[in-house]
Amino acid sequence: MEDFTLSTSENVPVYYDIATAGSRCVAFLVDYSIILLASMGLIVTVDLLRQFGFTSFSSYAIALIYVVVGTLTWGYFVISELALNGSSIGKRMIGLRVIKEDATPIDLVDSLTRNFVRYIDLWPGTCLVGFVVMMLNAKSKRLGDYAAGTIVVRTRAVGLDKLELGESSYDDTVSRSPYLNQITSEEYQLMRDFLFRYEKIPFSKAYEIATKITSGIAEKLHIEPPRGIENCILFLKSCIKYYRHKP
Amino acid sequence: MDRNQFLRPMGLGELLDSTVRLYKKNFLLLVTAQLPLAVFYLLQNAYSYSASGGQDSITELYQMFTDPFAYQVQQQFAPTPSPWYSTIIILLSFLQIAIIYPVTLSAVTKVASDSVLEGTADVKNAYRFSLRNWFRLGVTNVFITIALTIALLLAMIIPVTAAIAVVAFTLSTGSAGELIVGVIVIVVSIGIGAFIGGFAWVRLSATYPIMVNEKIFIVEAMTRSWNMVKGHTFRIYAALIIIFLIPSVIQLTSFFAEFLMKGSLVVMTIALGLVAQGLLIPMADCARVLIYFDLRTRKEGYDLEMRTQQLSQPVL
Repeated sequence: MEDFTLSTSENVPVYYDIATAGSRCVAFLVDYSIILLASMGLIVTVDLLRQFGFTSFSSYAIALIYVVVGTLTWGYFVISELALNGSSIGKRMIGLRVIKEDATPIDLVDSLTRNFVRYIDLWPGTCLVGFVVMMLNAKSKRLGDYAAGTIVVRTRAVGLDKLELGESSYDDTVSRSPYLNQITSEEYQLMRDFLFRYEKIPFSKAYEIATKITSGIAEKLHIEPPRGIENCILFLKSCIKYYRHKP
Repeated sequence: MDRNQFLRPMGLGELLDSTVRLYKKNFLLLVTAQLPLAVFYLLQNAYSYSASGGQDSITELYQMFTDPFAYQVQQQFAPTPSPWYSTIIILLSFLQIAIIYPVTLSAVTKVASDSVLEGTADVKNAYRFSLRNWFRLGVTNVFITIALTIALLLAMIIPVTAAIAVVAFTLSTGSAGELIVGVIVIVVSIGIGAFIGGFAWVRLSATYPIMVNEKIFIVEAMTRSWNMVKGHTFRIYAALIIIFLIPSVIQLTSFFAEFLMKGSLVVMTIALGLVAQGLLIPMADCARVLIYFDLRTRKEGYDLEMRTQQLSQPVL
């Protein structure tokens, strides 16, 4: 999952999910739809204004509007990447962000560079060059990323701990068990994931999984395994509440 | 113990990224498994091209609309196709639908599934499974093809009705302005029709991974896929469209080149088609496998079940 690890100056590893051609394709489609709509909107507006007798539109103004339409692609990406901290609207929608290879935010020069080289990546109109280059390197970098020294990563929303543990009839038994530190971090994570999701899966399957997890954990804690799904849930909540991380 | 990165509920972006990762990780195996279909595609196209006198290119279609007179003249001097041409094409198409495609697709699906579940995969094992079940796979694929054809025909009723209404209205009023509106109506209704037709395709998209991983076939597998995708149709629709757009990038390149050079590039089209079929279609198969596992984890807690099994074996 995390396929790009960066060590900070304090030797703390920072993990990043690299965005591949798959998710970048979605962002690309969203961004280019916006650009297309904006370009068409501008051209149609100018045309309508001229048809309705706004002759004060000088030929210079019209030429300027066409220049704006022509540079919209470049301008759109540069402005949005600077305004949205490395994301365009499409990238933000799918949760992607452009950063430098040393994990610092990109600046104007980086953005200008990677978006200038975009025209080569787009060649011959089907993004063939960019796609092939992205598929051939582990960090899914297109030519623009190589030129600017940037990578596109997935920004993850940190989920808040919403698990309500409450009081449980197993609290006493579990908290007194001298074998609590035998529970591994994988088991702890499995118990949490199960409690978060058990209501969304069919009852029979949830019961089967709950029974397997609780019998294993109960055996470890030298406790009689609970019976019935409600008891299993209460038991798992107690285990999570009193879990002690093994150093 | 590392958690399996592919066995977890995933959002659209994560699903697409995981698809590309799974594809890159097993690139050689997937391409090898896809080889029979790619070779068959090449032979089919080569035969079609040689027997029909080198037609069917995008340039001919373009010429048909832009210069119909020149197109007619060209057609008159074109060599007459063999009387067996249509029969052989129909037979080849049937062979593709009933045997080559299902056997190859299930082998590719098996390679991708094994890689997800076990971390390693083997083309020989994948083909052993496919060839052992070739008849049931073939029947299922014929059923899927019939179901999708019916869905598409039903969906096309909307644009056809719209087209008839537009033509009738334009003929009765004789107005050119309505014709433009009519064309827009037809285009929009084709879009709606294709969307409805695509709905059935999406609902049946998990059929192959189900056959490979659960060893259930034909109607049972199709029904399970239909029910499994239910509730997640639009997310999966979006994922599949994006993934199928990627091989189109390669194939569209030849169309672009043909338009730019104003000449027929049939060999290039076939070559790029082969590249798309052989190298990039397995990516779509990887997407289907990951969609299947994503749905199983979401709806059946499959990842929790696997993790429970893994934990209970050595540790608990």
